[in-house]
Amino acid sequence: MHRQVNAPYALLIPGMTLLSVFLIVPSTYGFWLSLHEFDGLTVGAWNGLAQYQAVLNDPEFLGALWHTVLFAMIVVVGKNVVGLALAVLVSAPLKGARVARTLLFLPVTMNIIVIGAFWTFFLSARRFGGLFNEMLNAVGLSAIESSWLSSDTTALASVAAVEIWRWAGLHMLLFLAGMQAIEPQLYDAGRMDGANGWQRFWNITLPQLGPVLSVSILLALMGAFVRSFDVVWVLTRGGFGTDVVVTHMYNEAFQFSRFGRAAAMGYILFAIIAAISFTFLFFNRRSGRNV
Amino acid sequence: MSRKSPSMVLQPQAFLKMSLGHLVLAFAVVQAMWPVAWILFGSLKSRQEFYTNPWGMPRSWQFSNYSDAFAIARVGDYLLNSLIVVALGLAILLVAASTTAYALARFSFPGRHAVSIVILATMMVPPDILTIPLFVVLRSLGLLGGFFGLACIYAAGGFGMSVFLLRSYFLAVPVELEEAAVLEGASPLKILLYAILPLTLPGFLAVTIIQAMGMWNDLYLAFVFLRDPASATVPLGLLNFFHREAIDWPRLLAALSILTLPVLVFYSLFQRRFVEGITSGAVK
Repeated sequence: MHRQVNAPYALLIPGMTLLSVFLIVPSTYGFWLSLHEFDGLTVGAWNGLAQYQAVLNDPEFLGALWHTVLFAMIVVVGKNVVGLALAVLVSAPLKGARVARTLLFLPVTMNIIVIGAFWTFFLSARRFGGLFNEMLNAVGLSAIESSWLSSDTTALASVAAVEIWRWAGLHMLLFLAGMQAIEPQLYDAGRMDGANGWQRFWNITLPQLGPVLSVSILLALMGAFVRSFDVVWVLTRGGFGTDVVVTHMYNEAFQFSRFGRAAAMGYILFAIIAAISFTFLFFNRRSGRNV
Repeated sequence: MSRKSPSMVLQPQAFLKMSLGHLVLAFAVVQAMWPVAWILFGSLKSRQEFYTNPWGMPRSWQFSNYSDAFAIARVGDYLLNSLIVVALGLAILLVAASTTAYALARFSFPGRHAVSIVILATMMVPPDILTIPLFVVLRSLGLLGGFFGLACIYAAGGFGMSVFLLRSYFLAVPVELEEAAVLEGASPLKILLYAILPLTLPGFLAVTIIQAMGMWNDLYLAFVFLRDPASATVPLGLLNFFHREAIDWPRLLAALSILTLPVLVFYSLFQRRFVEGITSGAVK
């Protein structure tokens, strides 16, 4: 009997140790660090919130934050629109639709360097073999030819496009899971009322997808704000107006040894996504669409 | 008036709709597979051919790019490093997540709810945000630059999702089975290994596959925490190769094919587990 009582606690030791050392301690210790002067080696004087004030007044950081917001807006809309369109496409009664689901998910499994190599080459200037510019040229759109990933006006949108391409299959799967849960009677009723395909999508599928849509949007938001380092770094290394908060934070710490400041940026980023998520969930709940 | 049935009138239109649907579907599939096809084709071209024919099929197959990738780009070393990190990360994750999930699924004890809440809360904080403090913690533990520290971070990052996935599998195992084992005098660890593991194997497979893919493909955390080029994982080693002024494309693409093929094989074998592992966390 004695063993019975202690067994669950003994079983929790490995997991709780892992969480404590590698997530809980760093997140609290890092906050303490962000309140001090810190060059990465020695912890200096207590700084209070001065670090945060400095970061929020730093035009470079604000620029990176603005890039992040733009990037997030394109990516969140893009991933959800494309993901939903793909989900509708592969749930249509088409031959090969089931196989297509499997294959459309393929980009999610690809390494970022594979994606980066392909898109860098595809979007490069014509003299380097860039096929996209070649195609534009062929259809008479040579006026908008560009070095898509190395021009200040197009780089951020191009990186966002690659990010949408990379994750659309994941959002497709989420929407498919949601669509499978919709009762078929609703569609039968819609057909009886003479609703066409588009009306059925707009009045039945989309409202019924509410909860899944919220999850999908939140996931895309988190991804855009927090997980964008690799795609940006591989494609542009943060150049050409694509410096986002995470790449800026990396440079701040590892190029300029301003670790305390970089830590503060991490917490500001966290506060921003927490605020966005809560606001989103709050309004979502109030509009009564969510569970 | 002849009786023209409505379906007769609609047929050409429906046919057009169907063909259009198939066309869009085919286009979507081809573009999704294109990069993989492109690296595979490109990896077989000679350097000269790659520059004159970057987008087509290879005219002659230059398999020496693969041996060159091992000899010149040190892909063999990177592969070994990647395998060590992934194996370590999976071992740590599976031990930590299965024990926790089992405790949460099978025992009712004071603090159970609190543990769930803590795990859920840590899922909201991705390791990416904690880069700086993690760097400092790893260094003070003497783990910076080593495989073990990186593996622990991978395991911690995938912990919450794995716990909740495994817990749902544990909950589906009939309690009677375990009660019988308890009556036989088996310890909790023995019950877990011999009675429950066989029944929950699909869950373990889903966790293993999805987390292994994440660790295998990770660039950012390896980039920050493995500072020594000699301990680079495949993506990290190839990043340096890719960010050079003059890229040796066919060899890079050969190396990238080596990086991609294991994932492709696993994906085609265990496609359902991939989907389950990836959507379970998000749909809940």
